[in-house]
Amino acid sequence: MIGSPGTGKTLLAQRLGTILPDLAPEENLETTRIYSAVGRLPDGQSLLVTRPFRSPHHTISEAGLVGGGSVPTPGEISLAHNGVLFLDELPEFNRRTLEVLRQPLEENCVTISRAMGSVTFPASLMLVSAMNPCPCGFRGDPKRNCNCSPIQIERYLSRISGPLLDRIDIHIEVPAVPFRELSDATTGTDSQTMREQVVAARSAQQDRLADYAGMTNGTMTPRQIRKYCRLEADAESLLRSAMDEMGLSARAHDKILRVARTIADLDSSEKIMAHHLSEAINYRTLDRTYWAG
Amino acid sequence: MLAKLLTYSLYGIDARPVEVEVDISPSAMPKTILVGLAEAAVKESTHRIERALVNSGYTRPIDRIVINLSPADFPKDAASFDLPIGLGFLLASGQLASEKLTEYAAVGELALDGTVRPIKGVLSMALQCQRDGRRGLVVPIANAREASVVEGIEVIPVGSLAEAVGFYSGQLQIEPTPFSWQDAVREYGRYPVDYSDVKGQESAKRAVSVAAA
Repeated sequence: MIGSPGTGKTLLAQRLGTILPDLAPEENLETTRIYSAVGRLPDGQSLLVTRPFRSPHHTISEAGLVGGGSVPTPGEISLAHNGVLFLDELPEFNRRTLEVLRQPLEENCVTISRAMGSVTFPASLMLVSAMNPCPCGFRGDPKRNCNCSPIQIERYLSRISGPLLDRIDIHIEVPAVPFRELSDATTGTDSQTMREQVVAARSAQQDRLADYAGMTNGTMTPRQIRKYCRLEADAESLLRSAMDEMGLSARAHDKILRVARTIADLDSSEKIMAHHLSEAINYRTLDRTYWAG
Repeated sequence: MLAKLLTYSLYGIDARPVEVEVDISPSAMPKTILVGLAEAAVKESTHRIERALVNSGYTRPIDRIVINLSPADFPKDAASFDLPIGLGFLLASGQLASEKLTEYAAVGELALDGTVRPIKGVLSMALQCQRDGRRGLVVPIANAREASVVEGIEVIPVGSLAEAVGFYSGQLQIEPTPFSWQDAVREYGRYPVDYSDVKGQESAKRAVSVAAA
């Protein structure tokens, strides 16, 4: 999420857990076990039923994030197991700290090797990160002026490496909210409604991937993508021109298809239409506009 | 006399079974020896245990005491061995006799006055206890609810060394901590936040739904 200060990036991230499907009993146990091992369970509470939300400060060390110590203890990514890890002010994080995230994000676990043996901690999580578009925060804001020099902006953005950016499936811009909407008495979409949509989309995925237990659109292998993400003719040509124009990587191509499949599921549509695909491509274009160089 | 007890040690987030052996033999020079790759927190435990015994009204054996934590090649770094070692002292010196030793494992840290303090990783230990097919686990009272989540074993909460002794000797009946999955879900299954608090940003919410699905 990229947006000016105070537009609600943190609020959006904090509430992500509320629209995810309920945890299965084994998942609850797994998450609780990690909290129990570090002695962080709230007093008298027997079980963690809700999905954890962790937002470590940007001064965190590598060991603090992925776990470490001579007798290894779990880090923030394991504490966020089955939940959400929120990295606010992403460019402020130490670059090396962010790079160690790459492998756990792909494998959903982290293995720490020490002289007396190696330990594997589970770390299956959703990574959400937020940042400002430039050091002062007002680049692209319609009302306020940004007074950062191009060099400052470039330096700020270059703290996030391409490979890490490539692993983030959905990039969005969070614009400032106009007063009219803020003062509006009607509340926006609530978690209940959003969650029902999510659960319905997930069950559609489960039906489709019934042969592969526990799979979701996000974890489809390239072969499954070819099988289940057939595009309509017009969508096909849209994707081809987008790929050519934006010079997307093979990974980005697969990710766009996964996201498009998910959007179609949210729409309860069997086929991936052109507008599903264009929404998915949209979620990938932001890095081009900001990191175009 | 030789005493053997079962306990668990935490490594990472997994618990491993550990056997505590305490042997007390008459000797001219009283000495306490602790072996079995004990790290600092375990090495210090003998001092805590000796005072906890005295302050709970038991006699501290003044003989040659050898404590062995097995498997000996696996490093142990937690205060959770206090309670089993303390019980081992009493068994080996003949102040406690019990038939429950093979059925119930024990974990807990001791305070100098004999109170049992909470430890880390009780849930993993309880899970391992269930996998090993034991009947139950004696845990610090503050950790009882955490451990009670595991089905198929009795979780015995103890508040002090004396209570643990009472339980093992059979003089004190302690009810296992009950647990109901439904109650826990009802009690803790709510989020304090909701997306209706976020005004505007409908397109961002849409993206968030896509991410969640």
